[in-house]
Amino acid sequence: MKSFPVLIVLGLLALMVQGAIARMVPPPWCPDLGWLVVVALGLRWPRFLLGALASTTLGYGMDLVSGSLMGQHAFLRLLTYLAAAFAARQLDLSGGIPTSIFVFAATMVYGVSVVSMLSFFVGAEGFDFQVLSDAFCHGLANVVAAGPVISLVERILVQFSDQEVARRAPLSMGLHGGGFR
Amino acid sequence: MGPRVMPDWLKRLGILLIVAFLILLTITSMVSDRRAIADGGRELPWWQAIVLEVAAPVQRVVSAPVDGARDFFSNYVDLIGAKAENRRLRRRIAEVESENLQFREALVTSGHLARVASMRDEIEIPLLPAEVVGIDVAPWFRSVLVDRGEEHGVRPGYPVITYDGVVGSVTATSAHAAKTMLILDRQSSIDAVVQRSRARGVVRGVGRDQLEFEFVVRESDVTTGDEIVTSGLGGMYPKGLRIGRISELRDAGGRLTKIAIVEPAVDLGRLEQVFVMLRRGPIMDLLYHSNRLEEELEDPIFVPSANKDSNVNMDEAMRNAQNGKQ
Repeated sequence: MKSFPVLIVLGLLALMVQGAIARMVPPPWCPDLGWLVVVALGLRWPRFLLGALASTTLGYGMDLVSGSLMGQHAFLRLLTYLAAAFAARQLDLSGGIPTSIFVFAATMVYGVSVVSMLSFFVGAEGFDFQVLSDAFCHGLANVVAAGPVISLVERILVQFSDQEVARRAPLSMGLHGGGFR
Repeated sequence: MGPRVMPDWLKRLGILLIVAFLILLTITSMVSDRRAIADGGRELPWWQAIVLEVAAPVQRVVSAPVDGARDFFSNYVDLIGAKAENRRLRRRIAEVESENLQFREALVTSGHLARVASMRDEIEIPLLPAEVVGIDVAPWFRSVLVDRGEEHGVRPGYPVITYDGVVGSVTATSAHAAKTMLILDRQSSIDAVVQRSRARGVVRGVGRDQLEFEFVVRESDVTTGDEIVTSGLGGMYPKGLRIGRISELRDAGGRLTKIAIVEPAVDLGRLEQVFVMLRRGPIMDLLYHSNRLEEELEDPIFVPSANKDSNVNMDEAMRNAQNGKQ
């Protein structure tokens, strides 16, 4: 439980650092560090429900400093977390290459989803080639940053968590022993 | 007797319900936010405003070294060739001043200058300088965070500009910060006209560094190089603010409309200082709120006394507005 507030702080700090990077590099090339923290939680944190809560909280934090609809990032980050948690429990995503593939694919889906939701809610222009190309660039930037962010989250989990980070063994859904995790 | 263990199905159901609740919560937030934005933006509740309040100064501190390094580099680059540029600009200023003098002379002789001056007094809008302290961290949105909020008189829906033209509009405010949606954002659309031919259309953000101006083909005289300005319709931006210049004409695929690519007048990638237009002038209030009671307006309608003729016109306009309302 100690790791929950630490991870929230880490996610918010990631947003601040991301804000500084965004001033230096053009938008699609700026990695989404806050989103990568959510992915890392899904891939590495065994506490399923706390992870879902943390992802939603971090998503709302992002919504407040971004031009999105309030709840849009929260919704998509929750879905990202669920996808990552599900994938980590079904597949072996402990290696660098599988993780990179997952991060890249999830970024593409995230980008297309953001634009599609805007199109649905606001009537903005739907996704086109430019969106796909931006998502592609953003995916590459996220893949580059994924390694350090996931390692950092792992370290925090080992440091503050009362249990080992199950890197290789498939994670449970937090249903066995001791009630909800 | 061991501790009672919750059955597996109950735990699964609990997890499902909590996740479903979170999903429902986020969707509800989006829908209600969409409504708030459609109504002109939102003043954030205190628990959300805290994040903006903290984010603004923190973003400023975190960005300071980055901005410093970038400014140092760009200043160094700018210095190269500054002398030649300076000479060229001085020559250009002399030419423009001479032209300006001729135009002023023409205006004075035609009596237009006095009328323009009195009009300016009437529609003058207080501008609040604000500093951009953070930019949108998500690549899918184009917004900035400025260091002025409700305590400085900033409200959702207020236009944000620079000397070069339109920047965007305030979408959410806290006490000392405001989130501003840039005109480049996919959610942005502005009613606009071509300055030269007065052809009307809508300028839309498409999430890139350019804008799209969609206009009706029939009887529209639009060419490359035309300036696009705000039309004053739509209730948010005053008339005549520069939006950008047409760089390319494209066929929208339909018979009725065409699309022009517009280069924004403002360099929105390097925003530092902006101005928030604090309130609309009396004429604009009359135009925008002509269907509302005078008492409902935030500020009383001020009729300037500088020009007698304009007073008469304003009285007439107010009477017309009242009659229209009745």
